[in-house]
Amino acid sequence: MREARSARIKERMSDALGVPKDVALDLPRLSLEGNARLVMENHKGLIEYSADRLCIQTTVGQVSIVGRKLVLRGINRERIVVEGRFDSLEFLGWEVS
Amino acid sequence: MATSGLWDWVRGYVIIRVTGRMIEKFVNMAAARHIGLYDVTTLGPGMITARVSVDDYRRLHPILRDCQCRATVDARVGAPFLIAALGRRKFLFIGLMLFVAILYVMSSILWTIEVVGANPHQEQQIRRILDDMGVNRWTLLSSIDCDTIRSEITKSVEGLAWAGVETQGTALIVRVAEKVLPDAPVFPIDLIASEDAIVVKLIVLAGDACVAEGQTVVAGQVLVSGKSASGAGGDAAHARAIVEGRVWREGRAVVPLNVEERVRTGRKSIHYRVLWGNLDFRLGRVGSFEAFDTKEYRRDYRPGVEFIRIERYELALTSTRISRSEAYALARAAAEDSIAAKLNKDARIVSVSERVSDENVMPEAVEVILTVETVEDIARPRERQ
Repeated sequence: MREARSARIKERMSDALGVPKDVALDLPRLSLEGNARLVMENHKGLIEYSADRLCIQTTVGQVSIVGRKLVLRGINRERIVVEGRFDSLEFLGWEVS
Repeated sequence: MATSGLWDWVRGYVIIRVTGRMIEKFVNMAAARHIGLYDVTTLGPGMITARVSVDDYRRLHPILRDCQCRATVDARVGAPFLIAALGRRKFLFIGLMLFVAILYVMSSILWTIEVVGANPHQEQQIRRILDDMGVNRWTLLSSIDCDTIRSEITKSVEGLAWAGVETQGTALIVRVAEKVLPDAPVFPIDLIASEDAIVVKLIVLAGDACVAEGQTVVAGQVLVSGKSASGAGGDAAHARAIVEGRVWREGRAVVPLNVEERVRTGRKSIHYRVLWGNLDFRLGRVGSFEAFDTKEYRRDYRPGVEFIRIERYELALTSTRISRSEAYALARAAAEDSIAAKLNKDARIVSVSERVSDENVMPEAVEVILTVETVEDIARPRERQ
């Protein structure tokens, strides 16, 4: 409850000051190349990984990819690169709208 | 993360297979400790393969223990493994290096010297010069200065018009061109007339003129005589002159007004004759044609017996009559053709005159006589014997 409140305050501050949200709120950055490649920065690790489902934890919630032949092209502390045929991309339990 | 494939190869990497229940945890822990996992693929539940650098692979072991996972190495790729493999086969490595070194040394020395275009004597000279300059087999290619060799050869070898020196691979190629001096004629060379003509222009460059402008000459007559080589102007042995003459040439053609054509009708007869000593048999029917062509094929079956096959082809004779003007056109064309064959290429045509036969003199044919007057070079060289 307290965290949610501080997040809302941060959000308003960043709006007022014109600071990008991902910097201010520690949001993940996702970039998609079609439905074949996803690069995500600022992640918090894998939750689930199989050939047709991949779930990534972020600071604000989970990102779930459902698709086929999912390959983790690379992973390190900052970035995750996923390739395959994505069928859907879902955001689960996000606190920030 | 964004390492190139080549750099990965240089540093070396292994492809590992990790099995365990907490695969996701293993991946997260590896990422958290700055261990780069690449090309992670699931093979089924609780089993993945991944590519990891050699250095990082060693750091994976504590994580594996914590996650209760097991890792096996599927493949080792890259330069460190290759070097290690070569280190185990020392002699192979030494042989490889030796091969490269020998190849390099062999390709940097001179192996062959080729001399192109020289006669045997000159070639010998050229090879001696190269020897003196220290250019021979085993000489380092880099120490050969083609320009110096070329100037030395052109300076020292007589009778060369040109010389070129270059290296092609491990060969030194010397190309030379001999000076060719024209042979002086042994006998004086005269100029004679090639046609009956009237000399219209005579410019003597060398030799003595024997005719004058305006003079009529006959074919074969000496126009300009070359001086004897032993005489005063020794170099004038070859007479040279521009001699132009007026030459008349005639072309004639006769075309009859009645043109008879012989056409085979297609009927033919075949009969045979057998000659045996004095005997003469005839076999087969002989065609009775008004006009015919005959073909005979002879064959000797045995000495004294001759066998002749005779074929007769019937001919139809048709005569067509053409007008005088048509006959004239044909005759004119034929006369032109016959004269064109006689004309020299460089002859200048001065005038063309035509005579057509009189109808009263020649009622059944037309004759055309063309006379072409040209001015042309009539001098031909002839060696005096």
